[in-house]
Amino acid sequence: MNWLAVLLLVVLLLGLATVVLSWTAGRHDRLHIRLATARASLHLQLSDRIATTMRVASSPALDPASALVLLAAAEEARSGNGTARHEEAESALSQTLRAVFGDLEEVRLLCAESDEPDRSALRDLAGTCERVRFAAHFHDQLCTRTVAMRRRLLVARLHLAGHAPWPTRFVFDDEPPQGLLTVASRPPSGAPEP
Amino acid sequence: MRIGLVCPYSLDVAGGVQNHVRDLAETLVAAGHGVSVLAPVSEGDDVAELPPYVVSAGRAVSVPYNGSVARVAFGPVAAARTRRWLRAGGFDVVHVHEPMAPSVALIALAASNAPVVATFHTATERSRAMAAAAGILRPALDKIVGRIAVSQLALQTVVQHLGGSAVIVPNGLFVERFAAQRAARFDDGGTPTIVFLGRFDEPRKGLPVLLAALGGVLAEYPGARLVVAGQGDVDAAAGRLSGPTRAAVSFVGALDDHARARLLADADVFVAPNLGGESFGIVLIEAMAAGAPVVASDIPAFTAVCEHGRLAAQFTNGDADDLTRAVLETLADPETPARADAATTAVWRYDWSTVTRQVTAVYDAVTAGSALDSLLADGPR
Repeated sequence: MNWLAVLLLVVLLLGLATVVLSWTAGRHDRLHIRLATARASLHLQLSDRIATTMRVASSPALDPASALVLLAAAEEARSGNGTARHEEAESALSQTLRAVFGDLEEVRLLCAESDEPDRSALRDLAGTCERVRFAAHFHDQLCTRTVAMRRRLLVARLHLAGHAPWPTRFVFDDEPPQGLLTVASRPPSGAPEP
Repeated sequence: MRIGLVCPYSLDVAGGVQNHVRDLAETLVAAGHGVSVLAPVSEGDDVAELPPYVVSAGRAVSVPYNGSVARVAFGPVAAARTRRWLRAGGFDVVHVHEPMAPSVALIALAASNAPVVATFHTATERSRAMAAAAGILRPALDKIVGRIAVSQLALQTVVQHLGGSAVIVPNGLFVERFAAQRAARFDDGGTPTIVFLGRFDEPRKGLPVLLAALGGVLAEYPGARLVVAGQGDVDAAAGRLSGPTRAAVSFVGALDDHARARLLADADVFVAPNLGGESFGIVLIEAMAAGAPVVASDIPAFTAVCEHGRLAAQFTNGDADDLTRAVLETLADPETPARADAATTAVWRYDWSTVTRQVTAVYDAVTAGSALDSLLADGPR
């Protein structure tokens, strides 16, 4: 009788442990999938930012020096993709975008000299800079959570994360150009900016 | 002649291009030309401190470009100011410097109706980024009538980027200002003074190589001192030094022409351990003009100025042991003063009197051609 109770308890505990472990492993799996999605999304936004920067750089309203720094930075970021200097190149692109489009008055002047297609390219650029920032933030948050979870003793010892790679952060300067964002956040209208 | 000079970098920051533009403007003014210089101006700068011929192209901003950070001006405000400056100036010739830098020189080049002379200062590899920007650069660069390169290396860059050719007119120096200090030289026997000039924070200036070589020099000459003159973070640089080396090194900050000439005149050896990225080597020419024996790394720009060892000793680039050897040999060699004298004579061809004459010859050639152009253009009508 007594041994039966013990056996029952052991089986129950084993069952409980299995449920907890598999549930944890499942959570892990989902977290890693979400992380992979966030990473893909960040890279998509970064590519989009490069493409939009190149489009804006070819606008005739832009002076050749501004166009040159934008094109050079975008090309550096494009060719840096997948290399050790990718983060550095994306940071440099952010800094360049701020240098060209950070000042509100300058962006207003530029909009006044642009025609509608050029202005819409500028609005696209503002949008993509903002999305890059959000995507980077979400990706970073997920990295932090995944790392915290994988550091837990049980998870680490029992290999609950399986063969999922250790999350790698993507650390770069994602600060968008404020002047451009301010101008673009106005309702779009055909009229030149004040 | 009405001459418009355009400097892409902020004039208050020390730099080869800025110094060149400023000195060129002064010698042209002295020669009786009407000169206006368009350049970016740093934020919070006292405009009154700038020379009267300088016109501000707007606020200079820092932007990463081609592997380093440039302080330049661009954008609608700078572009509008540049166009206004060109209209108001009525220039016979517009002389832009470093037109491939993303700044007002490129804007002025694109907007100018006057014949344009362009000086290429730096030697840069044709990067992928620059290839991507070729479509933007090309129409502007095609407007250059007279191309000047400051050195053989800069010329190679022009050829690589643009094809065609350019005339070589070197960077200028007021040789007299440096040579005037030579009498101050004194020999203090066993305590030689080694001098380094430049922004020592920048790795490519090569100060770490010299510091590594200093130990070997101190072993022979325990009283030797190293004087480091130039901008940079002294605490950070001094913190990396240890024991005897630290005691031998003194940092004296950035010096003006006059103070630099005095320091060089007192030097027993001037060391230029630059690792690369130099197109010309004006530092060597300053040292030579002041009469300092020179030891330089064997990068191409320096080898050209040293005339393959005739005017100065050279060592294997980046090799601290070889630098120790070169410094010890220079200190011990009885031929050193004679070689320094030969160098002092040789650098007179970089004097502004010569350089300005060559530059104005380019202006003359360019404006004469354009006068003919406009005659021909007006002819049939």
